Amino acid sequence: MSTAPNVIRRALNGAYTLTTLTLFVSGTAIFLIDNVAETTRIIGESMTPAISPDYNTTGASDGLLFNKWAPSLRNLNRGDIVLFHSPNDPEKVAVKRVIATEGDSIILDARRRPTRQRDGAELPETRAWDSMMGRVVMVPEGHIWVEGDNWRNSGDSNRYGPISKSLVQGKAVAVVWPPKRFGTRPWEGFRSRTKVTPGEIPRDGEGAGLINAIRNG
Amino acid sequence: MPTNSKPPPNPRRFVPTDKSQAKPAPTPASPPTTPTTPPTTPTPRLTLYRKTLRYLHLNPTAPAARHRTFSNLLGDFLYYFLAAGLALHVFTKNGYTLGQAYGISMLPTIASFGDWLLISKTYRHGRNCHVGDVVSFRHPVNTGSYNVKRIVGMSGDFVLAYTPEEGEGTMVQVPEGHCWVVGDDLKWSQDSRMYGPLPLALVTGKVVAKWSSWWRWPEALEQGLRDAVIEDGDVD
Repeated sequence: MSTAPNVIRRALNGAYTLTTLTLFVSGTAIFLIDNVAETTRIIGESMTPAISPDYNTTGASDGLLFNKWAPSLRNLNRGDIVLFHSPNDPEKVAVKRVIATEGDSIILDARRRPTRQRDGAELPETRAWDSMMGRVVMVPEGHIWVEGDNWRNSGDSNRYGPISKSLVQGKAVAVVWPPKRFGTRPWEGFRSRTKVTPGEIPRDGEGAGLINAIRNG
Repeated sequence: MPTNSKPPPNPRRFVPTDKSQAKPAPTPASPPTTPTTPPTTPTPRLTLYRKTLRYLHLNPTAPAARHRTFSNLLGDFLYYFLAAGLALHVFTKNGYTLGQAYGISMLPTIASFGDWLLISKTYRHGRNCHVGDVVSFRHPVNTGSYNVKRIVGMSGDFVLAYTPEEGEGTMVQVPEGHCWVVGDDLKWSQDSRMYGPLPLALVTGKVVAKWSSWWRWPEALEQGLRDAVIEDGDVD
């Protein structure tokens, strides 16, 4: 029975099965990760103490499950944790909390003035922020204002302004790592000091001309 | 199976298991007069591995005795459908995709209706994109809409903020991680002149060719850049 052609035939059969199985599993995994859900580790201390609370002491990072289903990403509420491509670096992905959605007016939190991390020197962003401080900033259409919970060390909309909603890739569902916090949503109930006045984008009326033109262009 | 003159086979001993290659049962007309010669083809051992294969009906040498029933056909169809769907998803996300364009903002490069664009996804997130490339991107204001425009400035470049010969000629520097996109039909295009620099993360790919009619070959899109100074070496 174990003649040479039989051995080769069986080896090829096994290799074929293994290859197709691998391709099926990886194809399904890629499809699910792109369109349905993804887990990722949250590196950095911009979302402490809710997420990755021990990052600056032990370096332990939490793993979060993100919902990437496109229809549910259209409704972003204030307080959601979102995963988005960073506007300043297209290869980087960031996780922050939505503070205000389109049409809302916000008053900036004075503690969140962006300065250089190591010595507090002024940056070009500081001047832009200073010019907006004390005024009411309206979040433009199709944009959101994101902030990290940790006001001491967070690169967020205070640094680069409101971000386009199209940059958002996912919405956080629950913590999956470490196991003792599995399934919890520790970020709920956060009270931000950035004052938000809910509002709507004017769809018709005086201010709607340019917005409608952009939307239909 | 061997004749019933032998004792029942002990599973741990040598037993030929393969029926498809089983030797034909000896006919009663040929009594075994000659001493039994060792079999010419080696018989397989019933190891635990092979027993598992047989239990799971995965014996690779068993003949494929599948009848062409409807459920078998459906299973085959689903298998190939799933395989094709997953392969297509990976390919269109990271390889190439075709999209139909409509709108007048890219005339005369892209027609207002009926052009199919071949988009290369290897240029997504602005990788290897240069000034002059026609790119497809997610609209920064109109969430969910995909637009096609031409890059006229990458990060760090200085670009004219408004239309030429209109406005004051203000130039802006494109911030890091962004690009400035403008439609080819300046009069009717809504682009970075209205909504500002476009984050490169929104770029989904570069349009490499357009297919205007099905009876023509796809045409590559021109890069559209011309030298600022046309050197003419002839002495007139």
